Amino acid sequence: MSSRRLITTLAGATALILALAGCSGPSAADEAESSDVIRLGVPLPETGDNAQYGEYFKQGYELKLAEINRAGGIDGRQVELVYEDSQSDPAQAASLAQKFIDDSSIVATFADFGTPAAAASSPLYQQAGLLQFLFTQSASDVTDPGDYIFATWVSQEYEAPRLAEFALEHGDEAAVFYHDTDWGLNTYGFFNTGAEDAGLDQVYTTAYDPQGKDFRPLLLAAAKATPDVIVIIGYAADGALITAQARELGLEQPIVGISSIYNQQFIELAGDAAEGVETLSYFTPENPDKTVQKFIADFSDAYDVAVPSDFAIRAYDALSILAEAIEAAAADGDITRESVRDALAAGSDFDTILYGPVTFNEKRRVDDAQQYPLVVRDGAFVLRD
Amino acid sequence: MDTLLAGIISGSTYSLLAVGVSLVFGVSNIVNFAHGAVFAVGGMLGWFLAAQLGWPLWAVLIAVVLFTSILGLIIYLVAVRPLRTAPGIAVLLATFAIGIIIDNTSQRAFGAETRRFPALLERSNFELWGFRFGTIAIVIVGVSVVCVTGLALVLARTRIGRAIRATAQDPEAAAQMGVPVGRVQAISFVVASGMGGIAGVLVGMYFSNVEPSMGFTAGITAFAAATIGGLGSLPGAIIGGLVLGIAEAFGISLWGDSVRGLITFGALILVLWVRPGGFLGRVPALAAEPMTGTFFGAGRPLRLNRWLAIGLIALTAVLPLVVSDYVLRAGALVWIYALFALSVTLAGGFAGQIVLGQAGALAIGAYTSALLVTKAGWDFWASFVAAGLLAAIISVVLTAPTWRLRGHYVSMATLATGAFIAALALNLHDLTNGSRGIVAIPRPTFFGAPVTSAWGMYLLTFGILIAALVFVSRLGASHLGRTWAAVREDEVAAAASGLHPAAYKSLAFGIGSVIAGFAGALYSAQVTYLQPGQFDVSLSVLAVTIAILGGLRAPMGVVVGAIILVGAPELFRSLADWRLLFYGVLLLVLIVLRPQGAWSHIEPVARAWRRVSRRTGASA
Repeated sequence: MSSRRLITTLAGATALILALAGCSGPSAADEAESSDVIRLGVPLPETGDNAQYGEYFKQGYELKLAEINRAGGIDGRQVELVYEDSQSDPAQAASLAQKFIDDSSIVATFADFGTPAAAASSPLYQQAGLLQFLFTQSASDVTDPGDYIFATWVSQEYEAPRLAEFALEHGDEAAVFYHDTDWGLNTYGFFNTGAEDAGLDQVYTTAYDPQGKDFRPLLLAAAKATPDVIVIIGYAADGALITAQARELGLEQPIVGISSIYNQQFIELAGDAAEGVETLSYFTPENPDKTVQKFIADFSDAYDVAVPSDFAIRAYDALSILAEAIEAAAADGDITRESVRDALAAGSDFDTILYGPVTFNEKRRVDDAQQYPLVVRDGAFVLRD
Repeated sequence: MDTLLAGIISGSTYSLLAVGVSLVFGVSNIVNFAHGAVFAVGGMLGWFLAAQLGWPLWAVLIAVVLFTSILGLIIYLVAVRPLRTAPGIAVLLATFAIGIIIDNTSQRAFGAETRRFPALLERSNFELWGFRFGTIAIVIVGVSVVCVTGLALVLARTRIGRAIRATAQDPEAAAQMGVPVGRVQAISFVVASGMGGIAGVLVGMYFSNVEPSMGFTAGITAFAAATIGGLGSLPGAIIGGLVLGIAEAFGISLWGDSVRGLITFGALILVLWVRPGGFLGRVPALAAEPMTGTFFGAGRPLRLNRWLAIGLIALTAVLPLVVSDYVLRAGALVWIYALFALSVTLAGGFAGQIVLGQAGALAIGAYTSALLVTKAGWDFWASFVAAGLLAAIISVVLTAPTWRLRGHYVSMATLATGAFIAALALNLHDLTNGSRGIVAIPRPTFFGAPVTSAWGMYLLTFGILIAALVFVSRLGASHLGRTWAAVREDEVAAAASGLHPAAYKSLAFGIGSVIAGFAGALYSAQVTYLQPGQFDVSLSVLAVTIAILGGLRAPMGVVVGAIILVGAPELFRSLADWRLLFYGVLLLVLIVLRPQGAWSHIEPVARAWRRVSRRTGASA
């Protein structure tokens, strides 16, 4: 008797599933369009705890995209970025990866924010032969899943030991705070080796939760070890909190941070406490290079921001490198998922704002690059003399 | 000494929030999940007025209190009042949905970035025992004491206070004596939310920055503090907050930041074991309305015709022929979540206990399977069995003393257990890799061949789901199922007829945890990457929501619920950054309109249907 009613429910459920299928699969219209537009997949956090990084990414992507398309696109074809919100959640990132893989009009993808979301999708991309371009992941093992995974952030293998030497300039006893994340642990491992080699004594070391708000108990424990210098291996927002709370508690030791704290947000959030904090950065707005200066001017025109976020620059560079590779692929023949990957691997001296010209090594990463010592003075990161 | 002071101040920030939670619980017997969101909005609005518009502190506080009070009234009118006849769990989920809506509206309005809260009060102008602190710290401690004293006076001396106390003790009797119970409950929401807003401003100032997403964790910690102090007791909320703050400060300075979750939820579990009423509270002698409530009569599950069921299964199984891999991957996730929610249905629908910590069992299952496969080289299916068993054993042991409790206390105890397990995964570095996570977890094997394709995972998860559904449905119809029903409908009567309710509740939960463990094993193989952050409280809430929306009594309901709740965010993809907001609205609408679940009987429709089918039946 109840079967009719059930058929209605069943029909509803089927309709929902089919609607899902309809939204997701590349429809005929999309494919017709794809012959003249080059489409790139962009998963990013637009909602959730990491949404601010998604906003930085979009600034960089959109600026470069406008430049490319204004100049007539690539090989006469316009470029389109297909944004998808992942909340940087590994579970969603994996199903999004499948969505891009299924959509045959997508020729390459950028990686999500953070290692978990990227790592959850890397094996899928590798298996399907679709390029995944990482630009905010710096752990040493992120490109290990295979030859379709590329990364531009210099491996922490080089950067972290340098930070140890940098800290040593302020004294040989350090208190070290690092992110309790896969990135933080990987980075700290290299820092630790570097510190041992350089003779930096870690009198206090602690991992911390980047979502935390109250770092006073940790700072009080650090203060008891009377370090000469405080080292922060973290991001801008949490690094700023630690800095501000350290100064409030009366810890006056010099503070040095890893390059990830280089972001105007650090100074905004730490306020006066940021004064005198030092970092090593791949980027400085004082770089006299003409392209860098033009980029800064364009960026502030577009977004009314004095100094672009490091993450916005990395997104800009990522699209810039990939566009150059696609152009090379087009010059050699067809633009396909495989030809784009090959062009990226074979190409050399791709232009970037952050590093200058870069070439990918056999691990599909950028070799070590120069870092500038910066210090916060009068509310801005400036070159340290 | 300095650590003690740091602990007292951060404890006071917990107290400020816990007072609001306790007030609402005391008056309305409602766990208000939106309280953290109100707190975050208070902080963001305070930042906007102080930093962007340059208002002075008194003006900021007045504006924030006004705004959040009105917000509290809206929460009451939208999420609580329409559900006053529905059981506690529907209200809890409705406030959760409102929390999502508030968080995401605030994120759209103020931007997602972390913002610096200007120092309207000094942050470091005093020093005591070598600890430097500022006026703001004294104000935070002062405000929490003043609030509680003020509230205590109002409760003891005034008419409205008497009305509130009467409502708290026995709403029905109070209503008969002419107390406007609805208005009293509304007032409790308004006052609590106003205080949440103040807390947002003060805590934002103390930490020196605010962000729209800071509410959820703060809200959960406030629950822990309120429960430790004694749910419903205002001085208890203060004491609970302080105890928690001090314990955390010492624990963190000794063992580091990652033990925070262990301490918070470990303390909560311990209190619920030893003294479930908290320091100052009492577990009401007369058990409140059971969580799953009397609405089961209205929520009678639909019965599935056998041929129709087979047809449905066949239809779903041939789906891989027509849809893209993306839908299949998303579909596999839907089946996994459905299986996960089925574990909630067992304890909730059969034994009447709402468990809010099933993410813990899922985590144990996922980690067990992933570790056995990657480190010990086990076959997937052996690890699958181990995952289910271990999830059940650990969950049952951790919750064992709580089954004699009732109502919200079971929910809070399971919530604590789930969060504690996630905190363990973070702290047991050597076993779980801690926050580094486990990468490259292999796909399951099927007769020796690895299942890597999207359709393979889809069919595999679907098959296991169907098997579990059949098993659970059979269980419901068995002698054991009827015993559970007896415990669920009337625990006292069940105990009087010689049953041991706690043991039966624990059994339902244990079997549920086996299923959650299985779901965890599949989850690890589907996502191929695990880290502790994936198993937070909102995942547990998602499982409960799926189970409730599908219809708690009907095992089939989880399928419908999972399609709606896991599928909907995918449907809303095109809305980009408005996505979660719409999701929250959908959730709220569904709960308010159909608290008895989608897969259940609706009387007017059923009557009309009977009439129609009788007619067609006669003509046939």
